[in-house]
Amino acid sequence: MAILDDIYQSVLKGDMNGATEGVNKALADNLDAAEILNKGLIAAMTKVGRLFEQGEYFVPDMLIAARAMQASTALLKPKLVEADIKPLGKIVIGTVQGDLHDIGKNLVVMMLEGIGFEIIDLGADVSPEKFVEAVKEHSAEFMAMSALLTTTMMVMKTSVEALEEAGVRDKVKVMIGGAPVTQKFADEIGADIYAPDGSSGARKAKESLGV
Amino acid sequence: MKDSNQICVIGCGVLAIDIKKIAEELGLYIEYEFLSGGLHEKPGKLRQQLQEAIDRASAKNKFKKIAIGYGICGQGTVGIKARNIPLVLPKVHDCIALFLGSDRAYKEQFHKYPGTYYISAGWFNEKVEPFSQKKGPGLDWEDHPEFQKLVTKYGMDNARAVAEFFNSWKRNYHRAVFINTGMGQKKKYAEYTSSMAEKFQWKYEEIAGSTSLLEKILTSTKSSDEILIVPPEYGTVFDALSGKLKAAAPWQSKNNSWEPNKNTITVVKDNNQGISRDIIRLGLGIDAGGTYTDAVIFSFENDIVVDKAKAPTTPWDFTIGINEALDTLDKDLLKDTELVSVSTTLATNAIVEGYGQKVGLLVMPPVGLFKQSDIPHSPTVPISGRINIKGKVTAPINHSEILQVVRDMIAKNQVKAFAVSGYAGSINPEHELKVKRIIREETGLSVTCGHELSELLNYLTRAMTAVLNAKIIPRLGKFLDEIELTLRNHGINEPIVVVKGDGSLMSVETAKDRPVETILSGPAASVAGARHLTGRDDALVVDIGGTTTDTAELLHGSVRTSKKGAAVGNFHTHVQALDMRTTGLGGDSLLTISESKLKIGPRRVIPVSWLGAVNINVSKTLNHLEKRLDFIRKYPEKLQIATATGRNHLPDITPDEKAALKSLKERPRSLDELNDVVTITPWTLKRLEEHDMVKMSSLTPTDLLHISGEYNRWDRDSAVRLSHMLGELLGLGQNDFIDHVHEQITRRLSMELLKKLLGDEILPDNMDDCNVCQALYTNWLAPGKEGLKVSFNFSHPLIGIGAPVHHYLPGAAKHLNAECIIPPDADVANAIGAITSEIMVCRHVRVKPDQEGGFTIEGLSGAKTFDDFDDANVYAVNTLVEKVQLIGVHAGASRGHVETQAEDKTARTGYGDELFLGRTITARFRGRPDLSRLTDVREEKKTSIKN
Repeated sequence: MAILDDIYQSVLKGDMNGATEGVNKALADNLDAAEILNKGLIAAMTKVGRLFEQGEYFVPDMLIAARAMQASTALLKPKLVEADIKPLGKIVIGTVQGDLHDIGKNLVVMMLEGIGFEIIDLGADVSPEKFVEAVKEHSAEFMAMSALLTTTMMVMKTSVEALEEAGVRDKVKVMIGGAPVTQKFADEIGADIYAPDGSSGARKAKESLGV
Repeated sequence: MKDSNQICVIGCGVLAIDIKKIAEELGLYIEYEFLSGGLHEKPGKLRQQLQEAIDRASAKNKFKKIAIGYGICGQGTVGIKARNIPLVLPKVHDCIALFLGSDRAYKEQFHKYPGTYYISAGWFNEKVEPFSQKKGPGLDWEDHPEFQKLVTKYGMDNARAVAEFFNSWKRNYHRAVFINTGMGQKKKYAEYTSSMAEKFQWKYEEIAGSTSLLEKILTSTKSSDEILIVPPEYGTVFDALSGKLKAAAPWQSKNNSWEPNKNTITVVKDNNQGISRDIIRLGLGIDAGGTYTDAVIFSFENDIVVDKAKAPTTPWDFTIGINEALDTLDKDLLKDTELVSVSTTLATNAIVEGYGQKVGLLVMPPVGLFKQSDIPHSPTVPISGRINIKGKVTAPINHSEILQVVRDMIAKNQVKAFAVSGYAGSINPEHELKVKRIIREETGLSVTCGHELSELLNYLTRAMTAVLNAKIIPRLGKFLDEIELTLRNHGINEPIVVVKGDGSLMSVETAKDRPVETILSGPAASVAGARHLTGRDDALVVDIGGTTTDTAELLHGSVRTSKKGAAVGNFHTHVQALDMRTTGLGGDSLLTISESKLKIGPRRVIPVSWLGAVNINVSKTLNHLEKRLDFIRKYPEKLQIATATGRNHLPDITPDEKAALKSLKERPRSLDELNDVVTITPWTLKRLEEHDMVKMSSLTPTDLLHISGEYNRWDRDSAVRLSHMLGELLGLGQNDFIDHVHEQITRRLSMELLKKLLGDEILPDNMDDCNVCQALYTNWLAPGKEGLKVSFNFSHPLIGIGAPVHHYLPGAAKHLNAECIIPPDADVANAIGAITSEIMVCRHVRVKPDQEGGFTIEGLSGAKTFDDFDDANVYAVNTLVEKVQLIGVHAGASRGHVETQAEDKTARTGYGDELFLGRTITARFRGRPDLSRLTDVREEKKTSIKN
């Protein structure tokens, strides 16, 4: 549909006004909110992620596209609530205890939201127990952790152990990322998903749901 | 001045002002080369420039040493070296520690305020001032060169949003600090720092710096905790264990001087362990299993079974079956036995059937919400006392609260025993132990702590394991008392040991405290027996019984246990019990046809040859079946014969059930025949079967062994007639049919063994639905594609136990290219295992790097932290060895030896360095039961009860 394609192109170009205008028009045409979300907005952000992974897009491009997406989603929200459209899943996310670097984590949040997840963002310097508490409280399907320092990587392991100890390890998938984090480290601490960047993190989280 | 011209300093520009001043104060004449500040952001470039500067300095041949003014700085200083001159480096991460005077001072600051922006005189001169003059990149991303490009491409609004995103780190910072080392224009630096704090709404602080570490770089002649001297030709390496730089000789590993300990075994204590065994000449082993109770008298002198007996198990009162088995043993030999060992399914049965005393559970959950639904047990009460995952106490327990809860539970819930489990209890058990002591003092009732039974993570599972344990304490206690009495009646007054689920032994006194550890002790005893009978330490033990085939592993002389703990009934526990795979394949498995193919098991039926032997009317039933064979062809499952057992106790029997029973009492009938009397639905006979009033009989592997003459106990003729029918339905003559069944059983068995072997890596039953696996099976077990043959080579032997095992296991062993051992007396391997096994205690602790520095011990009370790894290691090993010896002695062995094992975990980080994740220390105590020790334990217990 032409209008959905317009929305898609606007998000891809980071054109916030174009995207919101498109969404308003689509709503006026009585298009299904879920369809606008999935075929217009989420499809565009998925493409943005792919372009980023291919090195075509850089972080600012991704941020600006996400901005356009966020503004558009806000317009859709009432309709989505009305139609009881559920997010893909809930993700508890944070930078681990002792680590204040959250720019990378914020990028992941943006991409995860962009492809349809609900995010519970605990911010930076999050203790293992705080992660566990949030996972339990929100019945989250994922727990995502970020670390930028080698000294705080260890806390990822401790946080996974905290999940295990609280008896909720089998209820969530654990996803980790950050500059010092490697696949081998993820395997060693028993994390389910390792993502080298925000875009692939979002993609892998979605893939792990089998959708 | 020529003499003092001995030191060259190469360092970061941010240190210039401080180092120059110190050198002046110390009266040292020094040559300097300062590299531009900020190179740590590009560690590769830092390393290259630093090495070039070192090479230039060493080429001058006039210095005695080169002092390096860098820390690890993003690993930029790893891998540097000088050819003919020593290097001196500070053992710090970065320059903030140098300004503050020590790594420790920096860690303290970091711990207080991880988000701090530091300014020193050198920082200001090197990093702030030049840029503020040039108006280059500062703390604001809007000053970044990329910013203007974004404005052009996406407009000011979007560009600002991006800048705001990149500036967001400032929100996580809470403090700006001016480190005053007493150099330069202090007032200017302080004003700059405080204005920055104001701008970003941070807290401002001025901290007194210290130049002591910088002085040491210039003056030290020896390596220390703070300073590293790298000899000529040596290079710097990163030491993962200490997280500091080290010097390595050219022939040593380039990246890491420290080699992780992968699996070292050290014998710590080795006391003369053969002695107790020499004293005991005769032992009595008893296995009260699910179907049979076996007993053997074992001669340790000659290492043989001197007498054995079998009797049906009587689950409602195990001692009846035990008594019966003992009655058949040689009375004189029995009197001479000096040690008795018992394995039993009692604990398993009690848990599955839900018997036991009322237990009150006290939990100390993690911070945050606790729901009663988290634990399927009532009464459960959460109490105060919190420990975090690192083992640090974050909230204390409350003595009076515990008393209140305990009194309430006794008054309102009639609780007879207690269980305690807390979050992080297996990491630091101090709270659980305190709570236990309080409850014991208050009530005198038994208290089981989660950490006592399990070192694994998951406080909920530990809680349930403790509850189950506390629940069955009186039941196992009663059983053991009764056995003692039964034995006394047979003239035996010797101490008893009890088999655990891992096949090792414990004293009756230990067993009474830890009854839950006896689950799966019967099968575990069989595996231990297989070890004794064959003398093999590594093997796959295959027990083919009437109903099932059980496979378990012997590994390094021990029964291999399940890592995650054993499941009993609907409960997942943390009990260390043997890791056993069970499948419905046995001598009495039903042979039938499903989808035109032979199907073996999983159902167990009575072999028709047995039925034929006990009931002559079976021939009439077989006559009927032969006449109806064409009809049965469509419904091969009807080739089964129902027979009444003679039991009559179903109070609410339905008319259909009554009619069926009446007809079956006349003679056994096929299902088809029975249909003439009542309409047979799947559930018509179900209840009658469940209540042991009716049993099904059909063709089984045991019957085929009668036909081939390998077995001749019962009625061969019935077996022949039924096998003709099933053979005809499959289109096979008698011999072909028998061969076919034999081949299919061998294949099933081979696949079971393969599944067991691969079970660590995959979910074995997934192999049934995987078409790649199916293709491999075909080319492995059957003639598959021409020219292709898949084969497996299992280098450990297969040890077979159980009655029909010698018929099938050799074939399966051939498929796996494995040795097959079927020892004599394999039929009582369980009882042999019980009496010949040893006492074993295995415990673990972990030494983990602490984020705030040092190393923490997990798994011992107190969660102690040590600065030095070696200190932590020594403490952990010694305490653990003492602990297992103490438990071992209480379990009934005063002699034995302890083995310790250390395993380190590391992972390579994305920055290229090796990260130390921790060391796991295992201590394993092994020893034979010791009569004098067991008697002592018995006396100690009696005295403690009297007191």
